[in-house]
Amino acid sequence: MRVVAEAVFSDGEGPPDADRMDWLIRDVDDFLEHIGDSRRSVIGALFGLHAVTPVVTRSGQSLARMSIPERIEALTKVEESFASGLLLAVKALLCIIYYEHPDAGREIGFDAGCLTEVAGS
Amino acid sequence: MSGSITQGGTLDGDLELDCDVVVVGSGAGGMVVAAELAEAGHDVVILEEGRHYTPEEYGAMRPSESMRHLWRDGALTFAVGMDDSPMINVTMGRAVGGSSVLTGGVCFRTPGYILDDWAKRLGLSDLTEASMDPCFTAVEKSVHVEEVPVSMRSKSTLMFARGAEQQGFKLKPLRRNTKNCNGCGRCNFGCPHGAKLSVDAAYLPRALAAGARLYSECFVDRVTSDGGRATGVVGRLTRGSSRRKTGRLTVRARRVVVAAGSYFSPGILARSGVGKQSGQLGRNMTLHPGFRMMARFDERLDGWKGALQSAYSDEYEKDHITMVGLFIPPGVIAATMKGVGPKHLAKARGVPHVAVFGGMIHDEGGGTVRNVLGRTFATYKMHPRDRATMPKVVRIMAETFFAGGAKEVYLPILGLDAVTPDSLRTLDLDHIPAKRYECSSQHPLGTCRMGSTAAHSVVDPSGESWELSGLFVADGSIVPTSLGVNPQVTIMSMATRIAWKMRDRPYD
Repeated sequence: MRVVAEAVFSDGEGPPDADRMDWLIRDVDDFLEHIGDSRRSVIGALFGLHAVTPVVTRSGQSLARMSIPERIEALTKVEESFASGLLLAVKALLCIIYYEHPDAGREIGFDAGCLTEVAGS
Repeated sequence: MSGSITQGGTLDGDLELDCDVVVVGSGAGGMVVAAELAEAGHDVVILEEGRHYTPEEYGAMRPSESMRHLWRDGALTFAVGMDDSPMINVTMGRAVGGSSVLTGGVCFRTPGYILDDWAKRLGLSDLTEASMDPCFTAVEKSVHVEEVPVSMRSKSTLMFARGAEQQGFKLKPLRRNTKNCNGCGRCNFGCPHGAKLSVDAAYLPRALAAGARLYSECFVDRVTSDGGRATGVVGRLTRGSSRRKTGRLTVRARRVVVAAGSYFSPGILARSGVGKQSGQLGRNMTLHPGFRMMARFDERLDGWKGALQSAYSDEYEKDHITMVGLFIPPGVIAATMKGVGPKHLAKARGVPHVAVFGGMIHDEGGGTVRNVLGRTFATYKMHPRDRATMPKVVRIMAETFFAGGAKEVYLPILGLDAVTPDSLRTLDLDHIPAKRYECSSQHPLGTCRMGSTAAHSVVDPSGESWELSGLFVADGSIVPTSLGVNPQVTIMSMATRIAWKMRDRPYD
């Protein structure tokens, strides 16, 4: 999950700071722990994303072994491919939680009143 | 007399209870029946599969925390599209208060033409506007239905309203079950201010004051019976996120009310050997398939500020389309825009400029729920008329936003980037496969439908099973057709009517 998150939220120079990534991954794990049967669907989408990426990019290289710029390029190709739904499923979960982090929210101009009042890292 | 709330997960060992009426499910149907019967002097036990959270507790949750604790399976429940039908994300509540905790609060009475249709086509001649009026009135008073003032509309909604006026129609104000709402825009994750009068806020205190006993984390497996009469329910106590079984649950009751919703009530009846004779159990599910439209404007909108749902349009009702204002969390908006890395961040920074509106189809149905290997599995085969409506509703909403000044729109179509007015004109929406449409539903109805004959329905006009005396169903599953409007008042009013009939009938 972190491999995908680092690419999705990268500014092109590198991933967001490690503390924020740690918080995101901890919270994603907690989310998955509480969602019953859906956990398998999310894990399945993540597994599928890792499996199709080498096929879509025709590089044979796994996401985990790619540099962040390579991952960005690879996932961009996946988004244009038949497998875009897999990326959307993973990206949706990551984005919902990531932008609840007050700093991440602020960076996109999201000052959500009672939403941020109750948010905490 | 004072009732009680017990978290089933805190109990050790088995639980055995006796009561007059056991109500399975604490959502818009079950909680209303429980309160009405408790106030009439019946000894009522309410069983809920999810946990009990107070408004203070769920009001302190972030949206994703609400999704993992209050929504069923993290809001990732689907109806699988058959043939040329979309995959539909059907979201439901799984906590005390059920889905009523997660609505935008929209309240519509059942439209008169729908009740007329039920009378003419289904023989439900007792459910007229006049006969239902006392039920509607009682519900609206209990949950404090009020009109959303124009001043509470978000800028997101105002942009769509501006486009609508350019297109020759006006938005109408919605009515919601709120009191002292300050328009913080997160109703569907649980109101943080206790302003939305969902059934846990409006009816649970009444039920408890009248002596009802509520047990959460109780999974009901089946209804028990003896000599053609319902005698109670059996199931299990569960604990924590793993829903691990901690004990057996046995409730002996003189009457049973199943109100587990359209996805799960059919399963309870099927496991009890009830409801199959008509061939209608688990069938006839309607969903109001819904589509969100997002549009980017030059001006900053901060669309999350203001009432989440404040206005609607029935301008295209003749085309079976209802359009309703809404907003979705910025993270979800950002996720649905194409892009990874810097391209994603650039689009995410545009979220404050994005407006959102929703459109839903008054559908013909085509949904089915069944048990597959012990799990509930739903499918949906969209009616050809509704399939033809999908591109229509998307185009209408996009054109309305453009008329309001949007620079580009984000259609609910997988893999499609932002669309300009010119590219919309040339886009052949009719030939995009249904599977590429992002579709959601919050209104599953009809899987234990009410009717006037045992051959065509699961419950009779009083909500009682045709096959097992003393077993009632009182939730969205009995609503026999789709409504074209949000269903919570219909569900609560039909539940009120069922409760009043039960109240007035002596026990055998």
